[in-house]
Amino acid sequence: MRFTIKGPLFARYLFLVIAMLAVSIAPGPVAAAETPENFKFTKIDLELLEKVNQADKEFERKGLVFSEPEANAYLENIGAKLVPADLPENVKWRFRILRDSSPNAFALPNGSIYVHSGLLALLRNEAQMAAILGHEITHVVNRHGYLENRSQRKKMVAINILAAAGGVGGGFGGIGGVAASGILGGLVPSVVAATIFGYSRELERDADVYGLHAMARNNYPPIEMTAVFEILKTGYEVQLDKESRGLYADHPRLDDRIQYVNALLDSLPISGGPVVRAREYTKEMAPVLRHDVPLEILTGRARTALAVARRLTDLFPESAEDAFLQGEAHRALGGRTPSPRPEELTDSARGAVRKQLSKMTLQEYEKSLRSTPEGKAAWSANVTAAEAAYRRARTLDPQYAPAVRGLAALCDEDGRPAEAIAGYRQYLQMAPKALDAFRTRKRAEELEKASTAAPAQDHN
Amino acid sequence: MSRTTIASIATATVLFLSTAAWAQFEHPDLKSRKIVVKTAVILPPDVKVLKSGVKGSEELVEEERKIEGTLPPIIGAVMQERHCSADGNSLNSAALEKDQELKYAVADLQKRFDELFPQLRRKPKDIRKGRFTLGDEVAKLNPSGATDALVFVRGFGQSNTGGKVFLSALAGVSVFSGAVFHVVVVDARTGVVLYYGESVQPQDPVKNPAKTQKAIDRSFKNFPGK
Repeated sequence: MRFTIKGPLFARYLFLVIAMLAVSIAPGPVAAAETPENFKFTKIDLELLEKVNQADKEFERKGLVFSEPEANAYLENIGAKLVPADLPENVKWRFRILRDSSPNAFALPNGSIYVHSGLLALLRNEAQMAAILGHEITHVVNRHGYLENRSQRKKMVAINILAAAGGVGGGFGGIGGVAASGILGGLVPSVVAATIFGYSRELERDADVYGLHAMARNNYPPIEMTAVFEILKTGYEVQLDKESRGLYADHPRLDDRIQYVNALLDSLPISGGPVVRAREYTKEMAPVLRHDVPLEILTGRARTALAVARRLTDLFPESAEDAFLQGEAHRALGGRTPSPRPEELTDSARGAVRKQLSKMTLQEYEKSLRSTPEGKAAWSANVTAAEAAYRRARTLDPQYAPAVRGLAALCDEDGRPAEAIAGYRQYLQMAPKALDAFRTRKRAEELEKASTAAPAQDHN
Repeated sequence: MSRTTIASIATATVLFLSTAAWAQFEHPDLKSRKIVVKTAVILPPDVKVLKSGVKGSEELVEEERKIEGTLPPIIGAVMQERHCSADGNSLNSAALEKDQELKYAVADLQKRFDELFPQLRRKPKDIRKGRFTLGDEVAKLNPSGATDALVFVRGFGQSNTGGKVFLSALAGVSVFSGAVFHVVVVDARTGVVLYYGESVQPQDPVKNPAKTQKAIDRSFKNFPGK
C-alpha cells in the first residue's frame, strides 16, 4: 500500500516546506566545524559569558563553594599543569570545589571549573583528578559551551516552528492535516531534540580524548581515566536510576567511554615516570573528604559517607575528628548494611525503593528501613560500630566535644535516655557556645522531662 | 460533545485552577494557637525565572536577584500585619559573608529544605497532620532559641517573548507567563513545618514586580494573627 498525504493543497505544500526547513535548520556538524583557533565571539556568546560570570558569583554567594586554602591550592596547581600555554580569549582559569555530594564536575565557558566534593571524595589519586580536569579544560578550550549554546538555539527555533506548523496543519483536517500535525508537531521536533543530545555526546567524547592527551603530556597514566569511569560505574550506593542511553543521553555510556579510552591507550605513551600520587592526593584532599562526609549524610548517601570516613581513618588513625566522622556515618546508616545486600541490587528492589522515595520524605524512608527485620539487625550492628568509633575519638582526644555529642545522639536514637542525657549535658559543659548548644540543651530537657514523667506514670 | 458540556467542563476547570491559585495549609498547633509565631527569621529566598523564547529558555539571573531582594521586606511587612516580627537581614548575603560557618549551615539547611520540598508540594494537606519536619538541625540557626520560626521562600517564574507566544498560539498551546511563590514557615526549635502558602502571580514577574506583593499577601492569607 502506498502512503500518500491527502487533504487540502495548502496542507500538502506546508508539509513539504516545513520538512525542508527542518533539514536546513537542524545543524550540528555546521557548528562543530568551527575550531578553537577560528572561533569568533558573537553577541550570543558574549551574553552567555556574562551569564556564566554571574553564575560564578551565585555559587559563591549561596555558600556552595568550599574554601580551604591548601586543598584549593592543590587543585589549582594540578589544573595549571594541564591548561594550554596560550590563554584563550575571554577565559580566566579558576578551579573550585563545589560543596555537593553527587559525583560530578563541570566547566563554565569562562574557564571556571567546578569539581564536586562528592567526586573528589571518590577519586583515589592525583592522576584521576587530572583526568577530570583534563576533560573539563577541553570543554573550555574547544569552546564546547558556546558551540552547544548556538546549536541548541538553532534547534529550538526548528522545534518551535515545527510544533506551530503541526498545530496549523492539524487545523486543515483530513488525513493530510492529521499527518502534518502528527509528524511536524510531534515526531520531527523529537528528532531535532535528539540531535541536541547527540551533539552533546559528541562533545563529551571530544573532551575525553583531549583530556587523555593532556594527561599523557604530564606523565599521568591515561589508564587512570578508565579507573575514574569504573569508580563512577560502581560507587557505594545502590544506583536507583539506570544510566541514560539511546538518543536522549547527553553523555556517552560509561561502558562505551571505557572502551574507546582503552582503545586509545597504546597511542598515548608517557615520556617520564608515571605520576599517580595516591597518598599525596588523599592527604591534600583530606579537608575536602572531611567536609564531604556530613554532606553525604545530609543527602542520604550514608554508605558513601562511611567509605570516605574509613579512608580517612586508614590514613589518619590518630585523628579524633576522623574517628568521629566514622561514628557519624555508622549512625547515619540506620537500617542499612555498609555495603548493599545482593537482594537490594535487583531491578524490582530498585524499582520499589524509587517508588517509596517518590512518596516518602527521607526521614520516613529511614524509619521504614529500620522497621524491617533486616533493618533492625543492621541498626544493631551500626550502633555497635558507631559507639566504638565515638569512643575511639574520645580516647584520641578527650577534649573533642563533637564525639561526646555524637555518642549522646546515638544513645538517644537507640532508646537509652539516661546515657543520652548525661552525654548531652557533658557536651554542653565542653562546648557551651557551639552552634547547636540550644538544640542540645532543649533535647536534654525533653528527655529529662520524659524520664521524670515516666516513673510517675508507672507508679500510678 | 454539546456546548453545555464543554461550558461545564471549562467552568469546572476554571474553578479548580482558581482554587489552586492560592492555597494554604496550617499545622493544627498553629491553627489552635498552641504554637504562636511572634518572631521569625527569613532565609534567603530562592527564585528562578526563565525567559522562554523561540530560541529556547534561559535563566534571568539578574532579574531573579532583584525579585529575591524585594521579597524579605514584603514578607516582613505581611507578617508584621499578623503581629509577627520577621527579620530579613540577619541571614542575608552581607551577613553570611562575614561568617563562613553560618554560610555553610544556611546552605545545608536550604538543601535539606529542597530535599523535603517535593513531598511538601505533593501532599501539602499532610501539614495538617504534622507530617513534615526538617529535624531539629534547624535550631543551629537559632542559637539563642529566641526565634519562633524560620521562613523559606521559593519562587518559579516564566517570562515569554512575543515570538514564543505567537508560535505557541499557532501550535494550539497556551503558555503561562507569571510566577508561583511558595512560603513555608518552620518551627525554629523543632523543624516542624507549621505553615505552607502558595500563590500564583498571573502576570510576568519581570514586567510586573508590583504584583508580587499581592501574591505574597495571598500566600499568608490563613496565617494566624490578622
